[in-house]
Amino acid sequence: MRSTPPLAASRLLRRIVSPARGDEMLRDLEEDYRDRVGRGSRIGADIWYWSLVSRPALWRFGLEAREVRTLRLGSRKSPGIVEPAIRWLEQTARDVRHAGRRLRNDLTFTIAAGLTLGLGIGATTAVYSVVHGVLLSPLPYPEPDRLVRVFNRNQANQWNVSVAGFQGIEASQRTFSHVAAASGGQATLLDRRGPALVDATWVTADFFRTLGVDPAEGRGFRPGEDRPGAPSTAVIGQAFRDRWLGPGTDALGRALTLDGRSYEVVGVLPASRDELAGLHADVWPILQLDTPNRRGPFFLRVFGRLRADASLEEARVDLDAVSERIFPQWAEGFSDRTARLTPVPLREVIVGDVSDTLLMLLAAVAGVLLIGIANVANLVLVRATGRDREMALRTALGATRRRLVRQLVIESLLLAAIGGAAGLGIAWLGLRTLVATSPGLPRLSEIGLDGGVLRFTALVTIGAGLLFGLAPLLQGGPRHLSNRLRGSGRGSSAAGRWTLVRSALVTAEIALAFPLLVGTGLLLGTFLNLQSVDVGYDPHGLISARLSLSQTDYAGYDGVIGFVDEALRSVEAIPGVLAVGVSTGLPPDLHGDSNNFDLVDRPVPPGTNEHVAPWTWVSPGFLETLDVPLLEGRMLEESDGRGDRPPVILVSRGWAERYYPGESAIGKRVYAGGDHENPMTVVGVVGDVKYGGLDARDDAAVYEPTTQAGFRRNYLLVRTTGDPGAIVERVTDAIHDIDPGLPVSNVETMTDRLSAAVATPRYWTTLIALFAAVGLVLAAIGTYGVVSYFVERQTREIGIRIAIGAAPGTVRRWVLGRGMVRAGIGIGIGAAASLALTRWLESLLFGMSPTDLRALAAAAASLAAVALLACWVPARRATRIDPVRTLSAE
Amino acid sequence: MISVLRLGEDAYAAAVRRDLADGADRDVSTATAHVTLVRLERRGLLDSRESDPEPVAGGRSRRCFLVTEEGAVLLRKSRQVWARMWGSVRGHPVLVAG
Repeated sequence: MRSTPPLAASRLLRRIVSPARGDEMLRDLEEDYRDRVGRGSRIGADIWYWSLVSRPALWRFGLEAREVRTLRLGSRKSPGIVEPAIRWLEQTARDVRHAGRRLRNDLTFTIAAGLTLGLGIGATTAVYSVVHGVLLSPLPYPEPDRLVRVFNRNQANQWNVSVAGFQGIEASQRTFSHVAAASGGQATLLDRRGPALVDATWVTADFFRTLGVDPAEGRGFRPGEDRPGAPSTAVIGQAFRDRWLGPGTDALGRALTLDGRSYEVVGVLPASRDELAGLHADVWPILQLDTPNRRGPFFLRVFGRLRADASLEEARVDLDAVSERIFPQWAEGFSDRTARLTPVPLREVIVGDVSDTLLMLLAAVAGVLLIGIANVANLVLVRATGRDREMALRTALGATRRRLVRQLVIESLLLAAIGGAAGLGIAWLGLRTLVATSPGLPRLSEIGLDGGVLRFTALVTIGAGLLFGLAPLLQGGPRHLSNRLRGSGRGSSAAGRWTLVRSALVTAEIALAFPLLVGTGLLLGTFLNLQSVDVGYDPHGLISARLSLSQTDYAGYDGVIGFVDEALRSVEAIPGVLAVGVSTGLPPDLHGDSNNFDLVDRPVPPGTNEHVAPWTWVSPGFLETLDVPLLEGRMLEESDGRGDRPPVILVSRGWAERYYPGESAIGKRVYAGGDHENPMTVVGVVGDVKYGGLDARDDAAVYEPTTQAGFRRNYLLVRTTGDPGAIVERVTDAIHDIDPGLPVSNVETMTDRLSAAVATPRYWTTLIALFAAVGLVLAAIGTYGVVSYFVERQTREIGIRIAIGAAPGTVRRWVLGRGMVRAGIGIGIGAAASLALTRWLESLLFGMSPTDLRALAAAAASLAAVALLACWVPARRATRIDPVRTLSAE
Repeated sequence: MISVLRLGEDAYAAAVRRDLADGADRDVSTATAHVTLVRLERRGLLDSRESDPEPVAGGRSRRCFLVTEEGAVLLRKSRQVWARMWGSVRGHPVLVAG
């Protein structure tokens, strides 16, 4: 066992005492240390040794040894500020030791208060960490406020940029120092272990320079590498490199085969950079863009870094001019003159609409913290009544009010520090859970207990300590001391004031808990509404899987369609399979694409935007597999879209009602995607299906046969008898019989997909409900405490009432009345506050109004019931007071 | 200072602390004892020297203190004052046992 003191503490002490004297003292202290180790434990000895560092006497000694008389101010004759500062420190150290002893002697109070505070501070810190990481901290790039994302925008919509748009920006923009484009998705990686799907984001040459991110190994892309014909290169993420080749292996120069194409690895990103500009990818291959022959499709994410001398407004004006310049080049196929290329701050895009939710969560947890502080204030007040005489005696012996206040404050701050330390532990655990279970928060890797969060925790801890620490001062000043010393505590005006303060605290707790409960009710109602939405199909017995055909193996239309036909035949032949289909989108929240279209018989006026609708390419049988009803016309057939057959589409009921209200949509024709030469004919109307999420308002959807496009990325949908999970292996085998190198990924049941669609509202509802439950329990404890205290203070009066004939029911009602009046006032104040606060929840609600009366009534009833329960126990105790014993004790 | 006298050649801070705890029933820390001894040395009432290293493996020397002439004068005066004051209350009812 080590018998020498901790080296770090020894070094500190030597510096404090001064090198000249330090060695001598340390030798003496070492002997003391060894004695303590021998008598007790090494940990105790270590703690004692470290505590020496905080002894003001040693600091004073060190200054004397260095003959320091003054510190910057003062002269050799005056003491300057050193002596008063040392005296202040010595006094504070004494007060802290005294406060520590008092808290140690009253462990029940210390543990109760410490845990209550720890819960409140811990929850607040955990939520603030998320708010800080997601909303407040700047993006982790150089000069992040200069980064923007460019969208196409008109009055109704906002959408991505096309190749034509991006090349137009590159050619003529004047406000960006760098501009880049990205296209994300998945790719099939082929290596010695076989095919696997990886997250891939193709980016143009300037992408990393735009963000200001340098690879940790190798290089980024050189200018010109994104021109067609240039060598194919890629930058990879470090986590991917470690999985692919092994940790630390040199990946530079290696060949990476994605979708059948070979890329040379030229760089490896730093470890923390798996997510860039809101895009997560394992690999970042070069994006080489051909000259387009039409304005669409709009699939590129475009990023720009503003020049040092350019503002966002100047960029907007400049992109306006670019939009005007490129419009006539593509006007034939894209007639929306109101569409403008628009810059949006990148931070706004990444954080999205999660800020409302996070701020709501922070407000909720702050409410819980305030309830906790009120509870601790109540505990402190109860404890303070037992110290009345001590305080009075100290004042009589010469302690000033300032000194007494100082001691109270130090004790409260020490208690708050204990709560803060417990809170940090709770925050660490809570944060891990919050992050691990979160359904897709942005900037997840940037959330943690960093310096900014710890400073916040320190502020909250000090604030809490001051708030509840100063509560006892509300008892009044020295004029009440004579009462204290004479022992006339009960029935005095000071005792009355105590009760008033404590009652007010309980009323405040109930008022704070009310909005929490209302918020829970509203979010719970939203969650239940979402769960009961008619999604338009039967999810049971359905599984889906993702099939991504490689560009090299399936370069042409015939190859893709040939594969699709064969895959459908093979899977349909598996015993237990009832129906099968493929599609580029999956309900309830994944429509394959959006497309602009125009009605042949009702075209939009020239120069205005065409209609836009979710557009999904499906095989015949897909909608039948989903069990979507046919309402009019016919479903798709095998022959649709093949040979010289004219192009056809199916539309949803919502689409038909919107564009052809009161008449049949069958036989109507549309121009799609700016192609005004080959109209498509509506051959069937089917039931509405959710594609934009369960809370989507827009039910208009269009289905085009797969054979009219030949996309390589599809979802396979299979309906089975029995357990869908049991059929997965046979489906995978059937696909691999056709193409052994094709990965079958993202396999899930459609019931799981549906559950995942409500994961986000379920997450927030669970959190708010948790906070509301904690707040309710704390408010109940506070109410119980106050009413119990009231019964204890009024024992004599209750005894008299019983002695002169009051029935137990009367006594019970009297006590209950005292508690429930305060609860009622709290409920009233809380209801008024809720009506004002819950309108901030509006964006999170579905099928619920922020002032929903059921939620308000449920919250009021819950609080009243809990308050009644909390008052009942002390009320019952009051009815059992023995008047004889009570009056004899007087 | 009395403790330094009692301890003779072994009057270092940790020993003074133990002596005060055993003999005078006063609980002071070694650091406080060391600080006090150094201040007394600064005032000229004590003197100090480095002792020989302890006769064990890794043994260390210590700074040991002894009373100076000035310190001795102070102690004699202090004893006289105490003796005179106590003498004046000899036989006081409060101090008589029983």
